[in-house]
Parts: sequence; structure tokens; C-alpha cells
Amino acid sequence: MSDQNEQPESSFLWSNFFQRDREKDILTLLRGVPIFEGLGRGQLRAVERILHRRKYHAGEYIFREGDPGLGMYIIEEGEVSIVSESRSTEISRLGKGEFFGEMSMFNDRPRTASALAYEDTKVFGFFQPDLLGLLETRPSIGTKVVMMLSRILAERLYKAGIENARLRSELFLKEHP
Amino acid sequence: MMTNTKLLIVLLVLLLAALLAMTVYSIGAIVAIFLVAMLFSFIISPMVDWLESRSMPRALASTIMLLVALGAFIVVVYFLAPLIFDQVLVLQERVSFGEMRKSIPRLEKEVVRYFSFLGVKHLHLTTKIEDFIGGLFDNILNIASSVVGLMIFVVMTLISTFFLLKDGRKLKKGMIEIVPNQFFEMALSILHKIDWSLGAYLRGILMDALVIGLLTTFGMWLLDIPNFILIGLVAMIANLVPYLGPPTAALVASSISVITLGTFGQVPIILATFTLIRLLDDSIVQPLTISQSVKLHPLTIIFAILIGGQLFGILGMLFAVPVAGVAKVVASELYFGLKRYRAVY
Repeated sequence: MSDQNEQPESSFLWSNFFQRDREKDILTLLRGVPIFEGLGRGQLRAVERILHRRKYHAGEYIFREGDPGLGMYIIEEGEVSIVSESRSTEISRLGKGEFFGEMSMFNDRPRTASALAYEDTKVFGFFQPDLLGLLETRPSIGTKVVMMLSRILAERLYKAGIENARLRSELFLKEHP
Repeated sequence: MMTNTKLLIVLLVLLLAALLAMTVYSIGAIVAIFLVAMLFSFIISPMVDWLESRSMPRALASTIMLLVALGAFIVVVYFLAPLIFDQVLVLQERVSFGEMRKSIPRLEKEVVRYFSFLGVKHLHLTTKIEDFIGGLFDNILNIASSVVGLMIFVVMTLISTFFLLKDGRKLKKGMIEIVPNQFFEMALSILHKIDWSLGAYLRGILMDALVIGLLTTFGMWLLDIPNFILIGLVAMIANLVPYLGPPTAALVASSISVITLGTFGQVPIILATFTLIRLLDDSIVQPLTISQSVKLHPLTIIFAILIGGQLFGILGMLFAVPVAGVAKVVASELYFGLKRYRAVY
């Protein structure tokens, strides 16, 4: 793909060498993603095989608010801006190794925000059908990934619950000074 | 009212369908190999997935399942082919030399008497039945003589099936890779849904045909109808064609009974058995095997059979409905996918 274009003119041996280097980089990147924590080298390789590598130019949408959710993305290179089009605000900006859209791994609800490539960006797409396939063909890996995803979502839910309680008590204090 | 986008999509789909039909027609044999390989891979892939989930490399799992399928096919052919061959021979013998020689003219007299108001005096039933059975026998010999072509077809299909099983996911990934970013998620979602629905549909119709074939064979064996295996096989294959298939199989069974026994006596019970099997199929087997969403309109079925017959003769008629079912699955998943992603309204 595009990486091969970035290499200098080289022999097969060199391109093979770079290929291995690239693979190593990808595995290192994936190892750093919390969802894939605890997976061995072979298991990470199996995960890498089902990921979809995509390249987006600066300003290009990765997905739009309201689109049906299909899966999540892990940033390999570049920066992604998560924006709320309905409120015209940037919710967050994410960089290498970070991921977004993970809620869509578990439901088909429309995306709640848009993801926009802030600069030229490479991402790995990891989608619900692929996770289901992984659970069928490599249940040991699939289960670990689902466990990690659930843990991350549970953590977010817990934090949201605390935040919700804090805001409610603030509101109560405002209404009943 | 139909919007411009909708009209454009309908036209595009029609154009693509026409192009596909022309391509299929001009390179029929190659397409047939690919389609049969795809069909096999759809049927076998769940078992390959299961083996892979037991930590077996996919290439090995594909090889094993393909060998098992091939072995099962050889066993079935080894045991079933001589039986069918014998039954056709026996049928031919009975018509030509046996007691049928005496009973057919009697039958003819009865038919002429019943339908005297039509003014028919001679039906030449013996000659016509002999010609038909002879033709059937010749067809079997023709198939046997083109065994080399068949072998090439089988080998090529097996190789293609193996690669579709082993590298199916890579192929899908490769297809998705060339889709522009704007349509990437939509294409992925549609492709996955088509893959799933198509697999379920193909496995469903084959399972349904198999159950009907077995039920018919069992029913005919219980009724002591000669050539019950042949009738079961005809029922199984005919079941691929809704509406027309089951009556055709009932007609074949009744004809064999009339020809071999020389009386209409068994016909009512044969028809009753086929009706019972149909009821069982409609109420129990089909709801369990075939998704209701793939049910085709009778008019679609008639047109599909006519087009199939026009393009590929009897075989085309036989496979027209499953192919129309596949087209419906693809088109509806495509439409709903485009709608979900607001590409059409």
C-alpha cells in the first residue's frame, strides 16, 4: 500500500526487510491499544489480519454523525477530530494509538458524533462483523477482546454515573440553596 | 412517486443484471465453475469455521472439510448411482418386455373410453413411453460418456472451492480495500449482510430439498411404489422449483406407478402422500430452513423460470428460482444498506 511508495527504490530483500519492520510497528501499536491488552504475538497477528487499514486526507470524514455504527477505529498515524455537527463543537482530538467509535462494536445505533481526519491520517478499522467472525473462528482471542471492550465501556459508564451524580447534586444545591 | 436517484439505481441495477446475464451466457462454463464453488464454500464454510475455532489452521480445515465432502459425494454416487441406473433399466425393461406390454394397451383403452368426448381414438402410449424411457437411458449414457469433461469440471470446482474457503476473507478484504473512503463502511456492512443472508438462504434451500427428497423416498418406500429412490431424487431436485416442482415430482411418481402396475389404483394415495409432504414442508420444514424474507412472488418465479429456460434450457429452469432468490437477497440487502446510509431515500 502507501508505505511501499514511501520506501526508497529497493531490492526485494530490502522491501521484505521494510515489510517486516512495518509489521513489527503495527504489532507494537496494537499491543499499546487497551482493547488488545494481554494478547500474545500470534494472537495480535490474527487480529491484525482482520483489521482494515485505511488512509484519509486532512479534512476527510471517517464517519458522519447519524451514520449507522459499524465499528471502531484505531489511529496508526495522524490526528482525528471528533466533532458534534449538531452542536458545531469539537469534542476531542485523538492521536496515534488512540481509538474511537468503540460503542458501535455492540449496537447499531447511529453515530453520535463525526470523526474527521485533522491531518493526513492512517487508521485501522475494527468492525462488528469481524469481531463476530473472530468469536466464531478464534474464540479465545475474541473473548479476550470482548472482555477488554466491556471493561472499557463499564469504566466509562462508571465515570459517567459519577459525573451524573455530581451534576445532579450541583443542580439540587442550586435549586434548594 | 419515484425519485430521480431511485430511478437511476433501478436503471443501474437492470443494466448490471443485463451485463451479468450476457457475461454468464457467453462464458457459461467458467461462471458455472465459480458459482458451484461459491455454493459449496457457502455450505462448507460453517464447518471450516468450527474446525478453525478448534485451533486448526484454516488451510488444513478447508482441506479436511473438502475431502470429507468429496468422500461423502463419492460414497453417495457409489451407492446411489448403480441403484438409480438399475431402477431406470428396470423401468425400461418393464415397459419394453414385461407385463407392461399388456397393461399399457389396456390403460390406453380406459383413457380413450374416459375421454371419448375429445374424439381421440389412438394415443400410441406404448411407443411414446418407450421413447421417453429410452431417451432417459440415452441421457444417462451421454452423461457417462462425457465423464472427462465432468472430471475437469469437478477438479476445477474443487480447487476453486478450496481457495474460496481458505482465502474467502482475504478476497472480501481485498474487495473492500478498493472502495473509496466515503462508501467504505456502507460497502462493508452490505457485503457482510449479503454474505450472511446468502449463506443462510443457500443452506436453507438445500436442506429443504434434502428433507423433501428423504421424506418422499421414505413415503414411496412405505407405499411399496417401485423406483422409490428415483422418485425421491426427482422430488429433491424438483423442489428447487417452487409451485411447479412438487406437482412434477407427484406426476412422475404417479406415472411410474401407472406404468409399472398398469392401474390407477395407487395414484390417489401417491397424490395424498405428496400433499402431506407439501403440507409438512410448508408448515414445518420451510419455516425452519428458509428465511421468509426470501420468499419470491409467483410472478417473479414464472419469469425467472422462463428466462432460465430461454438461456440455459432445462438446467436453467431448474436453477432459475434459486438464482432469483440469490438476486433478491443481494438486491434487498443492497437497497436496505443504501437506505440505512442515506444513499437512497
